[in-house]
Amino acid sequence: MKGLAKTFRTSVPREGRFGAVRSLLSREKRTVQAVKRLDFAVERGEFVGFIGPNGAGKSTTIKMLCGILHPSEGEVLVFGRSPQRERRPVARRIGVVFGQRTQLWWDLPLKDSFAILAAMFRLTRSEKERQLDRLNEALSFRDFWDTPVRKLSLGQRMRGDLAAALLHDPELLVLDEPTIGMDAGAKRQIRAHLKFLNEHLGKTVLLTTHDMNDIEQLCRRVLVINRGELIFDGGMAQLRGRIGMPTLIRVVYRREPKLPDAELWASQPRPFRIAGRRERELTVSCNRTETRVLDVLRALGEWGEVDDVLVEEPDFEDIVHEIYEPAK
Amino acid sequence: MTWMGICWLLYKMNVKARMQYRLNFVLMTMLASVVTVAEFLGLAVVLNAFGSIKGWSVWEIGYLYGVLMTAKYVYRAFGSAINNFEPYLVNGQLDQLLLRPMPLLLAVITSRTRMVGGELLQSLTVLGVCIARLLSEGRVTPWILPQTLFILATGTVIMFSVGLATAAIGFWITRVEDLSVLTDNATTTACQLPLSLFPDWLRTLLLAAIPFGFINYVPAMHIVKGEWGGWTLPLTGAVAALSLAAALWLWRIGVAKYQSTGT
Amino acid sequence: MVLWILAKSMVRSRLQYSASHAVRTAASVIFGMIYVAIWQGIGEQDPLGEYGTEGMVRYIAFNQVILWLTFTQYGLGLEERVRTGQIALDLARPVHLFVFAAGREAGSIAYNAIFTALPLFFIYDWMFGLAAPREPAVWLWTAAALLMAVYSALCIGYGIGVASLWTVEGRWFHLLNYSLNFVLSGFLMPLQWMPDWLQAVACASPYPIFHSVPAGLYMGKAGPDTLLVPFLWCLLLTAGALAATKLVRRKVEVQGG
Repeated sequence: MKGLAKTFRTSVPREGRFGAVRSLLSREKRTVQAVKRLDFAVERGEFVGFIGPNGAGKSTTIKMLCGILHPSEGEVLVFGRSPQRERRPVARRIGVVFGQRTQLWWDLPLKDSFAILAAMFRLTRSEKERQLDRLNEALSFRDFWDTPVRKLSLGQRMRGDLAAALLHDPELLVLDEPTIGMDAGAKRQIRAHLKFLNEHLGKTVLLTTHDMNDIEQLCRRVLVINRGELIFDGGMAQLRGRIGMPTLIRVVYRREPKLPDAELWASQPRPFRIAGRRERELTVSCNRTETRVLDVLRALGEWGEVDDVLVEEPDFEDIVHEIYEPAK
Repeated sequence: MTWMGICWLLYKMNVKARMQYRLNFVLMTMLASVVTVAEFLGLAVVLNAFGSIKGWSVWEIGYLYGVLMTAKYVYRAFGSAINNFEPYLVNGQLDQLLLRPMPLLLAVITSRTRMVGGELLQSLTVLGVCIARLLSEGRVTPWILPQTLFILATGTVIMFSVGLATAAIGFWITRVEDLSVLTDNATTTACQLPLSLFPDWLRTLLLAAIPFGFINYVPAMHIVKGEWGGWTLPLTGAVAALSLAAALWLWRIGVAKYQSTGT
Repeated sequence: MVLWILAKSMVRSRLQYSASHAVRTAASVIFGMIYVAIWQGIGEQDPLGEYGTEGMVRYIAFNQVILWLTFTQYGLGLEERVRTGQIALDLARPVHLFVFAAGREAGSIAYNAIFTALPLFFIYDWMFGLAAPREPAVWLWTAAALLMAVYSALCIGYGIGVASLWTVEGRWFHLLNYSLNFVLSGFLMPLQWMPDWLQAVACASPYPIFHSVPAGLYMGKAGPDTLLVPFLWCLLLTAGALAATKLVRRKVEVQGG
């Protein structure tokens, strides 16, 4: 391993965390295995998306990574150190944002939060000013930093939260659903900021999100986790290839089409299947790694005169859903 | 900046945040004083009607009350986060604190400040009046002053320790608010009165399990009543130190058991 | 009936937190014992007038039992509905806001009656002997007094909930209410033993409804004529609750714009 300080390894091998989650509604006790067996490493400078359905173990993993939770088995190493045994030194080198909560002081201006955090991380005045200048370039928060945090918009608050997490100049940025609840405009802005942080300031970013656009536009590498296990680790293109490209083609005929009967249909396999039919409208789905749209259209043209065609690219979210629930 | 400096900064910021709602702050302070005075009145009226209970005069019981409540409000001033720990566990507030490069307990304590000026003034007034009366009756010597200061310190430590231990149990059971009704409210109510009033099991509980009896009753048996020897004061100090050590130990184990509220 | 359904659903939701309720009940037993211990201590040196030590123990224990019938949650839960904006929907319902809030709370009180007051009654009866009255009339009058106490508590709780629309520190009103109750209701000591000025304050307030009146009837120290004052208070508080609702409506309409 060359330059251990530069690579940062995360591995939570073997049986993961047993969370004896005390159900609030009943006194029955359950043992929940939030994370079963997880092994992965993230290199410096990467922008990694970490996705999975609710309850897949994303948050648990992230919290173990930050030293909030203790793994029941296995080990996490951040810059070669255990965030559990050496929580405070590790905390100095990572910046964390939980989109659902803010670490800013709610009733105070953003500025005051920076002052407190700078003191907490023991930055000198000049270090603090220099860092704030740099961050303002990326996140431009100076025009609203005199306003109490509770009065900021969600997008502004997130910029403030990002700046607060980056104030001590951490090498690794961990973001848990940073765009949650934002409108499209604010999301776009936050994405641009994140891209800048990664590309120009060289921050390593680990991002969890439910918004597939975040992943598509930002991450070169995606980790998919389900039921506490890593089920995919690779690039975006690979992720698409893995489950194919279920493209939907909607055709409207001039008259009601004459579909071949079931017997004929079975004897003559086609590279697409019918997904829905309503009067003159027919929807079929095909896999574009197997066939071309033109070929499908030609086949559809045999059943009647085509009036209108609509081709729908696959929704990324659906793709991922298919990975999550391959059985369905 | 030292940790003390950072704590001071956080304290100032908490106060500043509170002052954002100035009207509410004033209202709250006033109401809080009325509440504490009313609570004291409930007890005072009973005592006043009968003069004494089991050989304890009104002034002596007032001394017990003053010591207990002063220790309580000093503890509440800096430990209100410990006293209201359940939301930290339920809302994931603790997660944020774990990300700070400070010792966790320090981060928790400095995350919340309660202004107790009114309450403290009330309990110190009761304490002051009772001590003055006891002095003027010649029941106690001026030694009562340093001794009282000492037991206020140990009493605050005991209060804090019990609160911390209760909060730490929250790492296992999460819902600690109800538990603290037992470990904090019920015990405080009991210890406003001399322990000799209570059945054996309750007295034992308040001396051995939740040592609130050492906040006021045990040292007062020496300081005010002169019935027990000088050994009570070092013993009180030892109990305070021991409870603090035990609470910190429990807290440490609890933190490792912490189960954040996740999705 | 709406009221019945609201109350029933509240009982059901309270049933889900039985563990924490058990802790509360245990705490309540201990609180009662502390107060009883005070009077046993005083009783050793004082005959305690018309009550006697045993009578006072009974008085205190009975008060601790019925405390749970007038125990309402902070502002009948209205504060939370204000904070979450739910209040606007509540006002749009065909049910009057007061009926809605009080109905839910009544369910909670029914739960307290069955799962706290009743067990406490048996526990104290076993510990101290509560000497339950034999005359059906006494039970009847006591029950009437308790009903009015519950109703008044609901009205006052509602008023506090409404106050939370104007201040975020409404919780302090809730605490204030309980500490006034503690002093003025006769919870800890019969009113007639209080100093005159405090007695005057107490009698001018609605608080004696909660403990002094029902305990007096239960112990056979007072007759049904003492029910008149609580009844008048119930009328007065109802008028107050209706007026408060009007204020809420206006306030929410202004905010909602």
